[in-house]
Amino acid sequence: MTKVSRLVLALAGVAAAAGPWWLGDGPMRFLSELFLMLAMAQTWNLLAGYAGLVSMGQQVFVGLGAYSLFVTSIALNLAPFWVLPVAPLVCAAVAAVVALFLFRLREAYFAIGTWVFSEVVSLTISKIERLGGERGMGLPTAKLIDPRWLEPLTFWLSTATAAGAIVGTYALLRSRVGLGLMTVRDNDLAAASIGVDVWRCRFVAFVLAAAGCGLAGAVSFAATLYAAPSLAFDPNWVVVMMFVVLIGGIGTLEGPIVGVIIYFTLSELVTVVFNLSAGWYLDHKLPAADLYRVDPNRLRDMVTIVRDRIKEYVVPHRKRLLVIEDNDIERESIVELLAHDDIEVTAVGHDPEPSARCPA
Amino acid sequence: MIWIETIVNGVLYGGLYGLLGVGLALIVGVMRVVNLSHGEFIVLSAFVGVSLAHVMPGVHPLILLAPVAVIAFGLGFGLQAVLVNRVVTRPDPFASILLTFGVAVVMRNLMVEIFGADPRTLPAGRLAHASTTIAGLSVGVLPILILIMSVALFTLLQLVIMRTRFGRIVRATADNRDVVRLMGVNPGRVYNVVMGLALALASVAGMLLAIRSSFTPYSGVERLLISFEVVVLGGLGTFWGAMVGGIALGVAELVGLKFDPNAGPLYAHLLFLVVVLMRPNGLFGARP
Repeated sequence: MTKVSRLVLALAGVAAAAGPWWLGDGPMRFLSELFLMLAMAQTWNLLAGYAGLVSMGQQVFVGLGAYSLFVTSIALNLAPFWVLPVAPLVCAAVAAVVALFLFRLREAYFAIGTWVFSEVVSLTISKIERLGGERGMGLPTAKLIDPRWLEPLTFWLSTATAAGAIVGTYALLRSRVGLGLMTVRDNDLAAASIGVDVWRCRFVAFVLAAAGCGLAGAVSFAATLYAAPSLAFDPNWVVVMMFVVLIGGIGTLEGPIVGVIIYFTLSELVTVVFNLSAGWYLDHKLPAADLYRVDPNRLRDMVTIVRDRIKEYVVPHRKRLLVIEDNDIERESIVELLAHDDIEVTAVGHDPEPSARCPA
Repeated sequence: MIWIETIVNGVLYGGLYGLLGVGLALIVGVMRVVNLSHGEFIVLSAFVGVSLAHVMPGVHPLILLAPVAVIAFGLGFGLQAVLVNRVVTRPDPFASILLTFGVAVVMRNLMVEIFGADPRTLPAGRLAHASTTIAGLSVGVLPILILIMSVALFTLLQLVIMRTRFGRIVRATADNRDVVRLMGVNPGRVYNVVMGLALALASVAGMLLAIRSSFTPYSGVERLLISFEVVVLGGLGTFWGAMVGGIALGVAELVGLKFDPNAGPLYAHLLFLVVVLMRPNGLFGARP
C-alpha cells in the first residue's frame, strides 16, 4: 500500500467517523442504506463471482439476521447493538447446516433451491405467533439507546459493515481458500483434479457470505425498529444485490462499489428528479421526503464521473513482460506461448542494463 | 373421502401450475435464457383479461382467453425481437438475466401506475362455483375445465415441437444456433416465435389463475417462483416433467392447506425441497 492510498484511507475513515457531525440526517440515512446494500452485494459477489454459487435465496440471511437480533435483544433486554454479533453467528450456523443439503444441487437447481428455502423459512416464521406472525415484530429495546444516537450508530455500523465486507473478501481471496475459490470458479473439474477441495472452498464462502449478509440485515432492520416476514425475506433483497453486482462487474472487488453507486443514482434520478413513485425498492425503505434535494447539475456530474469510471474499467490494461533467454529456440517458443492481446513481450538474449529493463 | 377430493382438486389445480411453468421450460430449453419477467407477463395478461372483461361485460372470461393469448404472443414476439435478441448471443448468461430483470421492474411499476395496487380477481360468474359429482366425489367444474385445457395445450405443444416442420427448426436451433444458420434458418426469428408461444401459454395460465385467486401488480414474483419450481422439479427442459411437477406442487399445496389452513404454499415448497434433494436433477432431468 502506498503512502497516498494510506492517507486517503485514513481521511476516509476520519470522514466516516465524523459523518454524523457534517452530514445531514437525510444524507446520513441514505448513506447507511447504500453501505448496507454494498456489504450485501459484496457477499453475493463472493458467492456468484468467486465461488460459482448463484444463490437466489440470500434474503433468507437478511431476514434471519434481523429476526435473531430482535429476538435476542428482547429476550435479554439489552440494547440491540450490543447483541449484534448474534446475527452473523446464527446466519453462519444456519448456512453451515443447509449447505450440507443444498450443495447437492447445481446451478439453476441451486439457485431455485435456495430461493425456496428462503420462502420456507419466511412462511414458517409468519406462522409463529410469538414472533408476531405475518404482522411482524417491533424492537422495544431500542428505548435503551438515546434516540439521538440511534442514527449515528446505524451510520457507523453500516460503514463498518461495508468496509468489513470489502476488506474481508479481499483477505479471504488472498488466503489459500481464496486461491482455491478462483480455480473453482474458472473450472471446478480442473480445480478438483489438482487437489483443490472444491466442496470445502464453496462451504467457507457460503458460510462467510451468510454471516456478512446477516450482519447487514440486522443493522438495517435495527435501524427501522420493525421486522416483518414480507419485508425481511423479500426476494427484492437478492434481486438488488444481483443488480448491483452484475451492473458493476461480477467477480471484481470494486464491481459492487461501482454498481451500488449506479443503482442508488438511478433510484435517486427516478424518485427525486422525475418525481415518480417508482422507487419500487426505496419507497418502503426511505420516505422520499427525507431525501436531500439534489441539484440536477450535480447529478449530471455524478453520472459523468460514474461513466468515466466504467470506461476506465473497460479499457484493457496491457502487461509488459521482459523475457531473457539465451537459447534462441527456447526464447521463441516462450514468446509464442505467452503471446496474447493483453501482454507485450520483449525478448532478449542476455540480461540488458538495468536501465533498459521494462518497468515492472 | 374429503382427502380424496382434496387430492383430486390438487391434481386439477396443479395442471395450471404446470401450464405456468411450461413457457419458462420452453425458453430455457430453446435459448438458454432465464426470463425473470415471466411472472410480470403472467400478471399483465390477467390485467388485460380484467380490462377486456370490463369493456365487454357480456362475454365470458373463458372466451377472452383467445384474444389475451394473441396479445401475449405479440408482446412476447416484440420483447424478443426488440430486446432479448440483442443479448441472447452473448456468452455471458447474466446479460439476459439482467435485461429481463429490468423489464420486470419497469413492467411492475407501469402496472402499479396504470391499474393501481388493489388486489383484483377475474369474475367468472356461476362457473367459478359450479360443481358436479363424479363417482361420489364433488368436483368443481372450472378445475376440470382447467385441467382439460392444460392437458390439451401440453399435448398440442408436444405435437408442435416433435412433429411439425416448425418444431424441427426449433429443436435444431436449440441444439446449435450457428449450424442452423447454414441451413437458411434465422435463429432470431425462431426465438421471436418461441418467446411469443411461451408467453401465450403463460397468459392462459395467468387468466385461469386470476379466476381462482386474487392478484396485484406485485404478484409477479410469486408466479415466477411457482414457474421456476415447476420447471426445476420436473427437470430442466422437459415439458411433461413440468406438468408432473405442477401437479405434485398443486396436490401438496391443497393437502397442506387442508390440515394447516394458514400455511400458504409452505408444503408445496417443502415437497419441492425434499424431491430436489433426493433427485438433484429433478424428476425427469437427464443425469449429468
